[in-house]
Amino acid sequence: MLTEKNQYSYLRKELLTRFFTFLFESKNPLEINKIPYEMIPSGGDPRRCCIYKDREMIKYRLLSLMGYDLSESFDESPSLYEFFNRCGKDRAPALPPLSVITAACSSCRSKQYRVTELCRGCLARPCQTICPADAISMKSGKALIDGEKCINCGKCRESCPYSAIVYIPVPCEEVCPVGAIIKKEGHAIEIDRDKCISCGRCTRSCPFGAIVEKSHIVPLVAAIKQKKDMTLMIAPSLYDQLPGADSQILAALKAAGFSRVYELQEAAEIVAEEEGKELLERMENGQSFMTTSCCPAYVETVKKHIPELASHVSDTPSPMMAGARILREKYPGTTIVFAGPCLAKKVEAYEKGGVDLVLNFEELGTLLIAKSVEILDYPAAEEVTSFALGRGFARSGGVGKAVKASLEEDIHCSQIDGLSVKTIRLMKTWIKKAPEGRLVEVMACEGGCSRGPCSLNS
Amino acid sequence: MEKIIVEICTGTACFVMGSGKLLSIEESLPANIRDYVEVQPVLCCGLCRDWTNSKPPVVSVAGKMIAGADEEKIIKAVMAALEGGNLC
Ligand code: FES
Repeated sequence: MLTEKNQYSYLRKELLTRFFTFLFESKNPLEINKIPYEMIPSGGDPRRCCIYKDREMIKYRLLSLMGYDLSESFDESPSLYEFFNRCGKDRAPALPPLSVITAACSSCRSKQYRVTELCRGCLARPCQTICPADAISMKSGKALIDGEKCINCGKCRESCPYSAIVYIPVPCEEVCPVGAIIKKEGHAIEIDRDKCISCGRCTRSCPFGAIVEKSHIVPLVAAIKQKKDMTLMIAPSLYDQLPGADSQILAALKAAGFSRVYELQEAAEIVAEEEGKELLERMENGQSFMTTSCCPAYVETVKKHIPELASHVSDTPSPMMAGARILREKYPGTTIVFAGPCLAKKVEAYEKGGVDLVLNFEELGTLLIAKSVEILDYPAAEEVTSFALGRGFARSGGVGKAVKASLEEDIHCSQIDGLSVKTIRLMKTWIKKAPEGRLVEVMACEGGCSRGPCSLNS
Repeated sequence: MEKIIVEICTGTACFVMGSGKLLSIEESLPANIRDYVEVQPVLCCGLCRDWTNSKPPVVSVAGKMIAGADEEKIIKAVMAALEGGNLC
């Protein structure tokens, strides 16, 4: 993925802030048409061919923030104002959560190895000798790779003493663990819906920002403005994303328009305990292992790519779903909003119901900016870390640890820290040969939720 | 010798827009200037409200304000301040 320090990440947050400000403050809905011009003022440096295209891309991003799907072709001629009038304002947009801005996609060349001008056409020619596909020939004193023959093994690159051979990836394709990027030479990419697990990595890897997610902020602001009873559930990975002590963060979030803020670590501990009981039961019934189920991108992976593993996935609901159940009982009419660093939670919330809206941390952070909520202005209470095990859910290893702690006997627990082509291949073998560990914690994001694609400061 | 003070705003807007990651900038300063720099977190000064003229994150280096600050801009400003004072 791109490092977090990049200009696209700034642009995303700036656009969110401006859109939130428009939603909350603007008396004149026509003002939405101005946002692209404010973001890309005249006379600035264009990022693409010209500022006019830059502005158009801002328009598309706004459409995605309104919940429109951009992958299908649609009539692009209406103004932002007209699109805004028409967009859904009382509920989360339908799945899938991701779409591609075709015009923003740079239609990268298919991944390839290429010989650069650094090649000195040496005597030893290790590249030519080592190539198993006989794809390298010499032309005007330099090595040349025949794309037709090349099998992308990379051996030539490793062998070159001058580092003259480079690998040029297609960034989104490179990070997708399930091969869901359809790449045709000369065309914008498409996402294969049947394969996509909504892990969100591609959205943070594309240097052109061409893959966007549908946001729930329009219905969120509408509900806040209607003064509905709103409950915000926050994932335990939030605390190190914002400045200030936990008590300050909680007070600030409430001030942004929520009736109450519920920290999910409590629900996480209930889940851990349930999962522990479930594990013992399954072992008694002769099952050799069980995997966790709190990571929705992993659950999707099983559904779409390793269905034979389904009977081994825990049936215990995730902390988000467990928390929503508790809250629904206590406050029946409330609008439940989940905030986390995860894109796949949108899929889980939509499919399972119970959670009305899902925000990511970028959206939550920029909501605070737009509402001018100063976190550090709130009093800092003395820190008492409660539910430490539940908080641990944010990092890889934490779920397994919490489940283990709930059990009396010592149970061997292993983990998959990050989904990749390799780890998925490994998981496919588990049906024949049970994995090490009775309990396997699986996290789609390496490092766990706190390193999720939509985090602010991981 | 007096140190160059780098004040980094940790108000909500600046933090969310990237100052959270600038707080550890000392680590990425070139070794020869690291010792001359002192990083201090400060509270919101209100400048972040004006996105046209002073984009967050707002950082000040030896009293000079930098809007839309990033590592590169800060290091440049530190260098300029050092040269101005004939320190190196
Ligand atoms: S948050 Fe930094 S100036 Fe306001």
